[in-house]
Amino acid sequence: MSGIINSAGSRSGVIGETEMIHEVGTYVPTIVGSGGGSLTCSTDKSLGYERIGDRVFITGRLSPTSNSVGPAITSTILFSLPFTVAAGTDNSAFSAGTVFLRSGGVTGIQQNQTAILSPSGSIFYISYLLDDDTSNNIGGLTAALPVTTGWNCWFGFSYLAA
Amino acid sequence: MGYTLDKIEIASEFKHLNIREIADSGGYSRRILTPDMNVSSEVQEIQDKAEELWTDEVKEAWTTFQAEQEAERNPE
Repeated sequence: MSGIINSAGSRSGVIGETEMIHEVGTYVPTIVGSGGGSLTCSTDKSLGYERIGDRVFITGRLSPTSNSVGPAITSTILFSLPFTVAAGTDNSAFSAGTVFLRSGGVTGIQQNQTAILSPSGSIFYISYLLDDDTSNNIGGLTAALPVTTGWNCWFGFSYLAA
Repeated sequence: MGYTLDKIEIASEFKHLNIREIADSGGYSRRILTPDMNVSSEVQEIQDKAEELWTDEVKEAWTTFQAEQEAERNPE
């Protein structure tokens, strides 16, 4: 592979006859309820990304406030992505990845948390599995946001970009 | 922090605008604009691209897709 790294951290190289994308950057995810409302981050607002070919790696930590801007969030919390998810073939673009969620306030944060991405989507959300094998989403229909003060979310996952 | 538009990429059948910007610090920043979004506060180049690509058919398809995704996130 050969390529040039410019000042913004982007490189495109050539392997055989296929040009490969390499881009490094950060982005500020929007955090919204699927049924309305949104959260902001007073600190830890950005996540990092690295795109190598069609594979995007996401890392970082967000610290959202617990109070919704606008209506209260009573539906799944959606975090935006830096690149649209690929449509994929044979379900290859579905993806799940590591999340660690911690609250400074409470209580009721479920374990087995996973970031979930779907083909052609622009967002991911956090789902978890209960001991009775049912699942729910953070902020989901039957579970309000399980924090009352500041909370932190660590992320580390990859997905296939369009 | 200010950002300058660097690139607009079109992604998926729903004509997402994958925006790459360069921050004042020199690094890249990314975001996705989808057909349900209001782009009136965006720079003219983005508004023009949205106007060109986000037809009523595309907006309707994206709305339907989002409803399907919401149902999938919350199975009975």
